[in-house]
Amino acid sequence: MNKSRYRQQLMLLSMLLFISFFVSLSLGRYSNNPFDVLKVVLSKAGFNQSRDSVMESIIYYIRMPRIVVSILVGAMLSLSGAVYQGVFKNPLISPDLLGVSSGASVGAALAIMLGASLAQRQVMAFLGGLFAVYLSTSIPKLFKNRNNMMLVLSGIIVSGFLCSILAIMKFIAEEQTELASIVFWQMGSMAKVLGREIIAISPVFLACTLTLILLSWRINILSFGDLEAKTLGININQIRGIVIVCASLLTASAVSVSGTIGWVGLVIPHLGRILVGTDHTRLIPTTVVMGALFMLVIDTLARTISNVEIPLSILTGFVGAPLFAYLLYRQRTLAE
Amino acid sequence: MKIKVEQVGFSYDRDKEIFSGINLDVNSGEVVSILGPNGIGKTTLLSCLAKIRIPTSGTIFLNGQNMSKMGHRDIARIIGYVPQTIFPSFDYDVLDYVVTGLSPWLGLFEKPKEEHYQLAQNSLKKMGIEYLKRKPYSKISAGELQQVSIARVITQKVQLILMDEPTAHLDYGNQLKVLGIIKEMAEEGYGVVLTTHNPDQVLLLKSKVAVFDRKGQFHFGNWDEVITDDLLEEIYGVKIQICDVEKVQRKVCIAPKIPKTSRRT
Repeated sequence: MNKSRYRQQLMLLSMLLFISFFVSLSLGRYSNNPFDVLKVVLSKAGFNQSRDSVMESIIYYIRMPRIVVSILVGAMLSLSGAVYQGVFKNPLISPDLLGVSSGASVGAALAIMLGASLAQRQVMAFLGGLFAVYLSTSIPKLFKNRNNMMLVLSGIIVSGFLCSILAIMKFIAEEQTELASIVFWQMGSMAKVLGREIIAISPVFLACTLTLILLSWRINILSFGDLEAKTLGININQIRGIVIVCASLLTASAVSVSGTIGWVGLVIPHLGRILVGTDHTRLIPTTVVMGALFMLVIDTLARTISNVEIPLSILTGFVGAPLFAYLLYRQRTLAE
Repeated sequence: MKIKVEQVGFSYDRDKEIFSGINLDVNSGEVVSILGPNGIGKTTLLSCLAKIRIPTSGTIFLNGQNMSKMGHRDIARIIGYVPQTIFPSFDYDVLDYVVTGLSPWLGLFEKPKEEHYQLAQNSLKKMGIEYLKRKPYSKISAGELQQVSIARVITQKVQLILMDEPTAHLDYGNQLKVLGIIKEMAEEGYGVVLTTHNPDQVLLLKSKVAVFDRKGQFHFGNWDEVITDDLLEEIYGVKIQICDVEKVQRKVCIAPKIPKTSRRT
């Protein structure tokens, strides 16, 4: 695939994201009129004197933070999925591997049970996620088996164990308040995000995304497997370590603000590969934009299609699972 | 380029030694074929030469430097490796795959530019497979993949090429084609070390040989000094003879008949 076509596609996706941003900004319970949004934006810019202060605060304090966070979360989950798949040479894994999501969930649930504040919950989720990565990467070392498959298996072990811990916590949680908020948080929601979530996760997003873009060509080489990467002069442990830490930070931060949202990290990288190919120098930017777009659309649906807020995992599952089935079917027919 | 293997041994765990006391050397323009029965350690020796594995005893010197003290990047600028089988898990285009040969020459954050893709394309052209460049490398034939892999090593600008059973998955025509490529590369000044299960290839290449026999003895030298009827029987456990065939004007290596097996029916 040639360069100019890739650039066009990335531009097109970015424009779609931009348009969706404004569409989503105009959708909501208070007002569905895009001109109201335009008026607010214009008045902020000093063009229009008539001010609608209710609309203004809805846009700036309710819709805008939520939109920005869903864009960030979608981008983070898809990107971490894409690079995990790359470095583990396995297109069928997602951030849930390594137990990152479950670890972060345990941390956040613990915070909820301890009655901690939102900020503390973020830190706990973060620590839980990192702890899970540490466990998953330690098991292969313990077994003196650095094989990629061993790491995948240890991720399954760790996330299975953490899921049980989470189940115990739900079991002993106070039914009316704690259990309800753990369950709702775990299903994934952007309903309660505020500006401070943006401040909390955007530095992680920027730093990790930049690092991964810089390393994107090296990720190609890691995806050939250890033997080839070694004979191509790659310091495997160093680069794979950096990539895993970045991807895990991205996942843990996303989980800490919005709970576990399934399928995004698995499906979006596959869609990206169909669009621009496997070369990570193209796949990574594409996945970031596609993931952001996907999550924005899903979250906008979640808050607009019915009177009650729909948990995000329900929607991503409804869209993601059949989509993934289709992708597998497509791969099968391509292989023949 | 000169690689010198001194008293090298390797064991996966302390009790079971795969081989020990191996001495051999390879210079620019030389081909060394490693022969030996299944599971004797041919590939292990090859991977020690690439520093995929580190010998448990002895030393390998690359251009006079102790290889165990050299970084992978420095080694990858001199030594290239063509694996026996490549297991593609993603659909990289052949050109994107071949350009990764430049990995040891590019900075950590650097990405290949137009000029680098041009180099990769030249290697494909040299192998006569430029038409493959836009095909996914997971969807080409084993013979083509072998050649793509060699093209990547050429792109890598190495001086020594290690090939693990380069003819294993190929039909007879492609096997001879790969032997031709190996010969040409040696004439261009590359050192080549390969493993093979077919002793006749050694006679075709007229190369140096490194032989593991079934007793664990190691023999190294020129093909005409080392390869004898007795040694071949020692390697493979069946009678194999070297004959001068006038019609093709070369020595060939053939089995006189199918040996009786000890299988009970």
